[in-house]
Amino acid sequence: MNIPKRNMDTVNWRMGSVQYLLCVFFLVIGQQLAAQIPLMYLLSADSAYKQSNGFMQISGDGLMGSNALDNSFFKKSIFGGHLENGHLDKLQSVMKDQNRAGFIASVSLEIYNMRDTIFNRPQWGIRAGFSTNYHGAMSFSKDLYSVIYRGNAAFMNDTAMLGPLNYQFQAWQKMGFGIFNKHNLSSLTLSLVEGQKLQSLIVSEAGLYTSMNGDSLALSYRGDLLRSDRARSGLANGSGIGAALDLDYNLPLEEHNGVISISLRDFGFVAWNRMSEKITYDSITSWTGVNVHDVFQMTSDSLDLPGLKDSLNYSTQFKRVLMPLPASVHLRYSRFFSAKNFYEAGISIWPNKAAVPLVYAGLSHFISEHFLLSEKVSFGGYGRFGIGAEVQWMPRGAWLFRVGTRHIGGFTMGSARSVDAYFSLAKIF
Amino acid sequence: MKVKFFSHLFCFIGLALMLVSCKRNEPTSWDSDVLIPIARGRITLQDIAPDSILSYDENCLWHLKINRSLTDFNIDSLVSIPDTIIRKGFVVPITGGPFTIPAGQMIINQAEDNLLNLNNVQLRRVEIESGLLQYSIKSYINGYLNCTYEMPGVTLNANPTVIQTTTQPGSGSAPFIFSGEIDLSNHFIYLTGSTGFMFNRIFTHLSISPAVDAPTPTLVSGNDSIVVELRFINPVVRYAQGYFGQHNYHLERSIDVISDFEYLSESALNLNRAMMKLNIVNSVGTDAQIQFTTLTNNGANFNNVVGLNYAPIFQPMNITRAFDNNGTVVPTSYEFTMNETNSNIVGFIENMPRRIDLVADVTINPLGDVNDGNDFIYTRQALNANIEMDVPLAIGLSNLKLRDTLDITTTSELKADGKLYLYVNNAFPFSAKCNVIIIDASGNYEATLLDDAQIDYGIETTVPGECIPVESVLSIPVNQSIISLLKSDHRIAIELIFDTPDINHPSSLYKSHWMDFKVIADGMVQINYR
Repeated sequence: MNIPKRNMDTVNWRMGSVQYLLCVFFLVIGQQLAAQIPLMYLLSADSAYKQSNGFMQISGDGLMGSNALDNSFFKKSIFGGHLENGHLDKLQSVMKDQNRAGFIASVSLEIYNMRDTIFNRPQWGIRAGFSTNYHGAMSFSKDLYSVIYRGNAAFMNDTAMLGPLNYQFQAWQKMGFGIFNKHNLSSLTLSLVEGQKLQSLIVSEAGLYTSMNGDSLALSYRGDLLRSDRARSGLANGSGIGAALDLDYNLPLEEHNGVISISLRDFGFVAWNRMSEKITYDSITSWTGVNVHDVFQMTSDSLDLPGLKDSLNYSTQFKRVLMPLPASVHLRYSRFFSAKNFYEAGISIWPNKAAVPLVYAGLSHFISEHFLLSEKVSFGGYGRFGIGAEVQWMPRGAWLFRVGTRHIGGFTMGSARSVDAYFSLAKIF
Repeated sequence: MKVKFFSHLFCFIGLALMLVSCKRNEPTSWDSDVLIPIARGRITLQDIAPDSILSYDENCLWHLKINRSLTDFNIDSLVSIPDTIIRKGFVVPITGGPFTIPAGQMIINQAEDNLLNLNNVQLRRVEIESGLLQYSIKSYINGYLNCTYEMPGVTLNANPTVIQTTTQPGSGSAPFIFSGEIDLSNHFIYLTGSTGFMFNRIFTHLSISPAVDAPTPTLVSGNDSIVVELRFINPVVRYAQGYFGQHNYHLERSIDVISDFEYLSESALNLNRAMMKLNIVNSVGTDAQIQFTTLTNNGANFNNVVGLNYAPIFQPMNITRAFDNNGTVVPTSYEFTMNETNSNIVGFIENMPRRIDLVADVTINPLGDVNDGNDFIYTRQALNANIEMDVPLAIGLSNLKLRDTLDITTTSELKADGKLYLYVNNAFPFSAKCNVIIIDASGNYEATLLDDAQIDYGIETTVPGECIPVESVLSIPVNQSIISLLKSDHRIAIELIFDTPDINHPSSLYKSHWMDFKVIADGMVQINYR
């Protein structure tokens, strides 16, 4: 195998001013986990797959993370179990005034046709893709966590600031067609989007006042809840339709010395149907207990224990809603520093209030021409610091197998703040 | 090698899918330290005592008012008609035979005055509220017969009752039977017989002749008969007229006064004033003489018996008859008013009567039939005696116990450890000690929630009805063992023991007095999320 010499000093960006501006724009609006094309395709010395008829790739990724809540909390919240007082207190003690949590899950199928040309340009091919995607993000206050998980007793004669609270969940499916560059796998895909479900809660202000002896509670709140048609649910039974653009721009460095990858995912919208519900809250509700008149009426010898009834004041409006998809932007820079090793740095951005830009860096090693081992460190996103690893294997140049995680600790440590995994399986024809 | 690779690959994917599809097999739970108001309310005297026995006067002073009927002296039982069977056989007045009787020729034509067996009364007319008259006609005659049974004195809307049928041929061993029933509701029954001057007799007339269109000839032998049977089933009299006779009887009655309280015991009550009226109202058209021999009450725990001392009602009282003005009864009435100056009514009521016992001797028509058989009764308006108690609630209380039980129903899987705080703001001029225990279905003690918890009395000012509220805080433990008891078949028994500051200086209870309460939960509650 003949690996060309890499120039460590110069990088030819080969980007025009428009491309540069696009890159900057993408950087400020977001990203998605492991969404970029595997580096094995771009950096392996064996580029025989480019002479193939094409390849088909199944990919999946999932992430759940928070800067405040740990994996043990997530595990018991999802699979059940008792959250111990000490554990909840510990989480509370390290929380900031405003905290974040989120999750991402997606499964996709992509097909690249390397044989056919388009517009008489032999370097361009056709690609098609289908994916199902789920994305939830929440930004919440420490007081909200405290009231829910530790109770309101600590706020005696005080107000717990329950806001601001931002929560959004979207589920959608994409089916798209596009073009790609057979040399560097840069692509542009336009997809038809079916919106499966939308929930968006934005509480700008909320507070819970508890009186000195607990004889009255006052809940003030202002915000909007937006949700899609509740009569329709489930996969392929959504209530919205839209379009999305996905873009990959892979810019090889000079002398096959590395690559710069810029990706844009889910840049689009969903128009949710007219049964979408917008509920506006803006009121103060006080609670002083059930007003009981007949406890000592001798004619009434039974008393049902009262429950805290929902007495929120709100107004509801049904209407069509146009909502952007939770887009993401990824920038990756990879460069060989020796014949078989390269380093990698990147940033992923989700454009919402719950996520911070995820920055990562790592080293990758070609153990063989078809086997790549990477180790990475990352910080940000929905979680905090993480150490990850990735394996890419392309046996005999006919298959590609990739599996990795950014948070190895998420699989072994309950105290870790994130857990994630991603995989790709591709067959080259 | 390739096969092995793919088998490993699919195993991995399958394992991953299994992990992803894991389902929760238990709820997510955590303990939360909550401080929330559960309930609140205001208690006035109306909440403690039933509305039917409380009212307030122009000064907003509460009065305890109890109206109870003591007895109706059972006069309506005198005119009741028992279930009665009248069975008559009518024999063909010929000998020999059989003879062929031409159609239309009367075989039997017979009138009867049927005596009702009434107990020492002579009724002339009754109106029936409800009841049935069942009848049957049995024919032992071999022929088709027109049979008409008339009861001119049994009328509905002035129409006499007539039973008509055509019998089919019968024999001695297999008579033909025709039967039916008549709803006697709203029927008048005249019991003056065929002459119009008798009593307790129903006049009937039976006529029988061969049917004109009979398909076969009527063959009659001597001693052939027709049997008619009448059954009065559960007749209830609405009105009766006649002479009800002279009756003497001994009457004993027990009347619950305040049955809604479970019990009041070991208590002392001091009243300033009290009044009780005894009203005797006679809506019956008979004279009567009544003499009470005993009128006592049993106190709250049935240990103390206090007799009423008021001489006039223990003398023979002559009660004159009511007047019937074409269906509108003009009753005669007698009223006896007892108060603290002419009787021991204060002590009588201070005994907190739960039950009143009376014994009386009653004579109906003590002078005989002085109204020429024109006694009457509308059974819904009888001879009644009732009492009206009026007790202005200026009272001194000592250890007055009020007890009741509550069924606490909850199906929730509540797990909690903490306290319920009961904040009581009392603007009543009496204090209360509160005991709350959990009892099992048999009433046996299980656990104590409150033990002699003190609710302080409000402070009376010189302004009538004004009382400065005083706050007391009661703490009720709530833990898992108590919740478990409440979820099973258990109840909460509440005992309130009331005291006024000085039993010898009664405190007046006004409409403006109240007691506010708030129940606040403070403790660890397990939240479950499924």
